Amino acid sequence: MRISTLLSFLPLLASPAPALSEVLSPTGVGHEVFQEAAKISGRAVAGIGFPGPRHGDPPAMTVFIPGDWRGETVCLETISQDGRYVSEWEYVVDGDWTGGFLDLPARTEYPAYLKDQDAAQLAALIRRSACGQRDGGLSAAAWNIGAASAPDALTVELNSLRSDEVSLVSPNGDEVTCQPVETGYRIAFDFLCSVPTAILTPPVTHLEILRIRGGRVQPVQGFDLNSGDVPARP
Amino acid sequence: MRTDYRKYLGYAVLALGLLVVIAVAVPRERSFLVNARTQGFTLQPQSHLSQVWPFARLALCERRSASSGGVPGPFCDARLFNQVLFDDASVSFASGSTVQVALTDGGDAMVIYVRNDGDIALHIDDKAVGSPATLVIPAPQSSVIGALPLSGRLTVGNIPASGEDQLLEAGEYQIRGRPLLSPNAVTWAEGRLFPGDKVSVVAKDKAIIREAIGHASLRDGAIGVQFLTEPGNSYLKLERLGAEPNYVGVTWIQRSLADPLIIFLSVFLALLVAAIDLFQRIVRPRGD
Repeated sequence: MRISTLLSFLPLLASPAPALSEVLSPTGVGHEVFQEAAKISGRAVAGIGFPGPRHGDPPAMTVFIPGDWRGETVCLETISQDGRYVSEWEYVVDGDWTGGFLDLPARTEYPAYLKDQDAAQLAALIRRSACGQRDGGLSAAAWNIGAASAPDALTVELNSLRSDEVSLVSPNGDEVTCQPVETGYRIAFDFLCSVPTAILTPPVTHLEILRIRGGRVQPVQGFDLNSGDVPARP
Repeated sequence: MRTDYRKYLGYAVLALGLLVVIAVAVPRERSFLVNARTQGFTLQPQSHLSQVWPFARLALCERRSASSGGVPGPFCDARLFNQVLFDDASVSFASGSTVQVALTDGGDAMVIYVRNDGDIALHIDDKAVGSPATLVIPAPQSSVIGALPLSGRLTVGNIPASGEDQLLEAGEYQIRGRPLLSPNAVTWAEGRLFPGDKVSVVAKDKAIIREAIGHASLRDGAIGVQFLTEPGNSYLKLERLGAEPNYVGVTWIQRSLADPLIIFLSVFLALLVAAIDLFQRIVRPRGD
């Protein structure tokens, strides 16, 4: 009886999982921390996300992997707005990947926590490098957002180090004014920038972060935003 | 006859004791006197006329978009600002604005940055400047600038972080109040401020910053800020890196130790009770 019940589930288990497990294979490197209190976070770009409807089955992660990342090691990073939840998971992109959005099951010991969070409270991004290395370009990743296709804009979550004004400047001189985050504990990020995909220069856009604090321009930092060959929305 | 006088003496002692208790227990309003040496402070002016700051020379830095050209100047960051120079101009701040004042480049310039949620931030003489507004006072000298009056909600210093340069360097505070039935304020408690402290005086609910009156002046390479808050049930809010905010108030013991009336009454009461006891032992020998 028991065995037959078990067997009846077998076809389910054997049925093909969402494409992701074949596209992204975990390397086993990574960690996850959920701490009582966090006071400081040093990362300038906390997350790159995209707008969209809430995912039907949270917690779920949607990432955008450009086609030219095929075969490479990538790191999926998440940090909560209050800085208490931090995770880093390393994957290898399948060699045949052609680029696009991917749904990823949550890899976590805190599913209940992640399930309750909105995309606005969890900053995530995927980095074109092994975890622990900081030199790769960045691409978008978002928690609990339903499947997205070629969004009009990407949302960049920035830690401004207590700046008063923040903007992003594209290589063409387009300037995006970022908006301060008004609610919650602003540890991991305190500014949100909505970057129209129209100002991006695919496959890679170098964006400079301009910060003004107390009337003075702070040292300029930059990052490479990989948008791959995302087709414009028709 | 004898019982009467004992009864009245008892009442007198009780009344004096009650007076001491009242003097101790009645809440007294306190004000905070803060004196600090800092690289920066933040002021929220009470009204647009509460302070007018005259400067012999000042540069207004007007923000332009990163890509457009303009007329940059030596005092404003050429990447983002155009510069407009003023001589002998007076600056006044809009009510509701937040004014950040900082010394930069080792005291070679004073930067005043004013924000007012998209509204007028300040006036230079009669010229209105929108928010956010950036002013640079080149080569500020104490003999030229003198004292800058401050009136409003003040916060001195900032919590240290990478790149933070508006730090408090040193300072001290006093908690002052007027004892019951006394015309003069006395110091109830005092303490030191340490480098990197962020200081403000908040109301009882520990959220609203109290209005204060004071002045700022240049003191070799730093800004001296001295202010006195309006009397009230206030706390000194001390923020330090790595610690929860600390709210410094005053205890009834500290108040009592600085209150001449309470000390006098306590001593007098003790002497009185001792005298009565002695008197009774002498006048009314045992077994009476």
